[in-house]
Formats: sequence, C-alpha cells, structure tokens
Amino acid sequence: MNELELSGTGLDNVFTIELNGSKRIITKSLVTAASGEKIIRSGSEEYRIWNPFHSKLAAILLKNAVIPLMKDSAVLYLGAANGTTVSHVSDIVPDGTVYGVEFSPRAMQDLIHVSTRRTNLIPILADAMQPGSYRNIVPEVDIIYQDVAQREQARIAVRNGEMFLKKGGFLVLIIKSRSIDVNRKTRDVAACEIKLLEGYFEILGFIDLEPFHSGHVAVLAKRT
Amino acid sequence: MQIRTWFGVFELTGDRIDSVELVPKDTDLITGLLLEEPLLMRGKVACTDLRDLAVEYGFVDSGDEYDRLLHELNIELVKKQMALAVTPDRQVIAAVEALDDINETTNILSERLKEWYMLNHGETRLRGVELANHILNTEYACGGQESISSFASSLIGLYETRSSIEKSLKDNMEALAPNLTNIAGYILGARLLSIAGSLEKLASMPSSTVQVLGANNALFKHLKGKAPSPKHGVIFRHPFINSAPKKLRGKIARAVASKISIAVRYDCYSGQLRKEFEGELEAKVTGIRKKNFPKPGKSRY
Repeated sequence: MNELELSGTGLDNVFTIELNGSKRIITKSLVTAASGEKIIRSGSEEYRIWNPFHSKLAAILLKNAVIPLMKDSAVLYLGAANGTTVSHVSDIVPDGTVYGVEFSPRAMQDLIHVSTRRTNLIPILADAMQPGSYRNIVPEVDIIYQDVAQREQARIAVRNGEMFLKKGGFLVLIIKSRSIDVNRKTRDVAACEIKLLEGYFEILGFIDLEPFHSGHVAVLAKRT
Repeated sequence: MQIRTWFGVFELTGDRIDSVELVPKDTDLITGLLLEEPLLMRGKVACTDLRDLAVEYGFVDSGDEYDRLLHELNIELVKKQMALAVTPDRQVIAAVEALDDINETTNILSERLKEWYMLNHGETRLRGVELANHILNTEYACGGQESISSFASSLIGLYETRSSIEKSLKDNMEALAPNLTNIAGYILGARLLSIAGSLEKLASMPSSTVQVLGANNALFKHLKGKAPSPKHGVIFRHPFINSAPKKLRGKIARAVASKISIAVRYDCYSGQLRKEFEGELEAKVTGIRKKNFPKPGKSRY
C-alpha cells in the first residue's frame, strides 16, 4: 500500500489524515488490531481509526485541545466501559500504564478482552466513587481522564484527584449533564460542577463536545 | 512496621527492611489473597519501587517478568471478582430477557410460517404451534416440502425452549423473591428486576419509581414539562391495573407499586414469605374501586 500523508497532532502516536475528503484522527496500533476494527496501513505500520462520535477523547483532540499525554504517562481512566477509548489511550502511552476503572460487570467483560492483549492496560472492577477500594492497585498518576455516567461527577474527580493525581497533574473531566439533571441546560450543569472543582484544581478551560456528543462538556484542569 | 504486598510481607524498622516473607509464585493463590485484603500492588516500600524489590529479593528474575505477572494477576483478579458478582438475580434477569426475545421471534416466525403455508394451501385458522404441528404431521407424509417442515420444527423447538425457560424462571423467582412473585407474578417480577438491575437496586427504589419503571420516555417528557405524569410503567401488566377502568389506573398503580416495594424489601433483606400481602393489596384495590364508583342504590350523600 502507498505511503499516506500523516499529519502530527502534537501528541505521540496520534495523527490526522485526509480520507475521502474528510479529516480523520488515528492512533498507531500498539498491538495488531482486533478483527472488525477499522485500520489504515502506511508502510509497515498499522493505524487504527478513532471515531470521535464514539469516543469523547477523540472529539476533544479534534477540537484542538492540548492534553499532555506522553508516551510514558501513567493514566487513571475512570469509566473505562467497553474499552474503545481506553485502547487508543493505551496506543498513545506505549511505555506508560493505563488503569481502567469500570463498575459494570458487563462492560468489564469487554474490557478484559482488550486488556489481555495490552500489557500497559490494567482493568479494575470498582466504583469510581470509592477510590479507596483501588488504592492498593493504582500509584500516583500524571493524568486522570474521567467519563462516568454517575451523579456527583465533580466529587468523583476531586476524590480521585486528591488520592492519585500528582501535583501539577492533569485532569480531563467529561461532564455528562444528563446523568446529573435531565432538565437543566448542559452549560448550567457544567458551571455548577466546575465550581465544585475550584479549590482543588486550576481550571484551564472547557470544551462543548457538540456536534460529536450532545449534552457533554469536557473540562481541562490542573491539580494545584 | 509491616507492609503487606502482593508478593510478600515486608518487616521494616524506619526505612530499613529487616526481613521479607515471599509468597509462592502462584496466580490463583495470590488472587485469592487479594480478594481478602488489599495487598499493595504498586508503589514504594522503604523508598524503593516494588518492582525493584521483587527482583532484588528474588521473587522474579527480571522487571519484565514482574510486569507480565502483575498484569496477568490484575486480569485474573477482575475475573474472579466478576464470577463472585454472578448472583441468582442476574440469572433471573438473563432468563426473562431471553424470554422476551424468544416471544418476539416466535411471533415473527409464526406469522411467516402461516404466510408460507397459505401460499400452498389457502386460508387456515391454525396459528403458531398448532399450525407447525399440523404441517409436520401432514407435509412429511406427502413428501417434498422439506424446507417448510424444517421451518415448522424449528418453531416448535423455540416454543419448547420458551416453556422450559418459563418453568425455570418461575422456580427461580419463587426461590429468589417469593413476595415479589406472589404480588406481581414471576414474569412481571423478573421484568422489574431486569429494569432495576438487581434485587438490591429494586429494593432500594422508592415505590413511586417502581410505579413508572419502564416508562422512561413518558417520564422524561413529563419532567421537561411537556406531558402529564405517567401513571404506570411495566406494572401495567399487572391484572389489577390493566383490568381497571382508565380513571382508576393511576390510583391502583400507586397501590400495587407500593405493595411491590414492600414485598421486594422483604425478599432482599429477610427472605420470608408474607402471604398476607396479597390479601392486603386486594382489599386496598377493592377499596379504591368502591370509593370511586359507589354502587348504584347506595346513598350518595
């Protein structure tokens, strides 16, 4: 196959590419893609297409946010679900470790499948609201990425941040406003949640995830 | 001071390691220990990373082996935790969800079978399992028509599966949630469990939530101020509610839901069958009906 025109994104192992006239985001595969995954080959390398409509992190990156994911970062991923986004994070940090916390046993089945093949991905069956229950498994981390469908999302971020995030460490918090209040406007819900982070985090900015994910806002913050 | 890690117990004085008692390198054994107590898996002991200590004290030969082993261990641990999380209520939920799918499928297939049969034989009043049996009894004898016979026998197989699931669901529900089964019936009871997610979750729900379980869209529309409040969710299938006059359904649904709530709490936390609940609910429903539709002849003043 031909060499393709990959553009860097400022992040290791993440690239964008023009495909049939549209801009797609891809990550360099750490392990051979599972069957059914959409891949692109360029030279001897394999890249997996990252769907921003499925993954909020891909949407954030397409909106040009700067997230300091290094190839040796330790990442605590809360709400790992079926492991789609997690697998791309694992691609981005080949020399680091991703700790994927998920509470639903059904989603965990899929996550186990993903992590068996990826030695830098550690699955943890636990409630993100109770970070003490995985304190023995997770060390200090550089980044916390949180995308949980629970209430009290800011409180979960604060609790985990206090316990695991190093000073100056980065928080990416996806606020799913529908899990907090179905009636209030997403912006209002987000504003309330962001207030709760103050005092623990320095808020760097927030991004509305329209049109990829309606009712979601991503907050970028730094531990003070 | 003692620090208990996944590969051994360290005895320390200040920052000096006095002794280490290593555990055998056996994944099954170690995950068993981890289920009982949160042994330290990552971090430092006496300012040294666990990974380096494991190599230094000869638990593993290399850092790579340590990483591999730890990764495998974490996965095995999660698998064990999930196996422990398979409770009887999850079996019941799986069964009732399978039952709903089979019902839907048999309806589609029996319609199709009828269409096919009528193509060759004209109008028939037979339906479903009767028609399938009829086809098997006659078509085989006539020869040919193997496709339609095989279709019919698959359908019969599905009906048989359905009755066997139903029977086991009934038995399991009576054992798991005798009060809920007594009040709501085993199918409706299992459906409520399926929507709530588990027996404990259903037991901790307020009865007003139980009343509208399964009416999500109607509820959210209402919360947005665009519709009146839903009167019932899946509990509409309860005979007390679906046989009631429309005007009384809301009131009766409320009574049924509150009894279901109490019944589920007994099932979850005591397990004892309280037979009197059934009578109490019946009396309550009769009361509602009487109060709202006084019998003719009685004085209304």
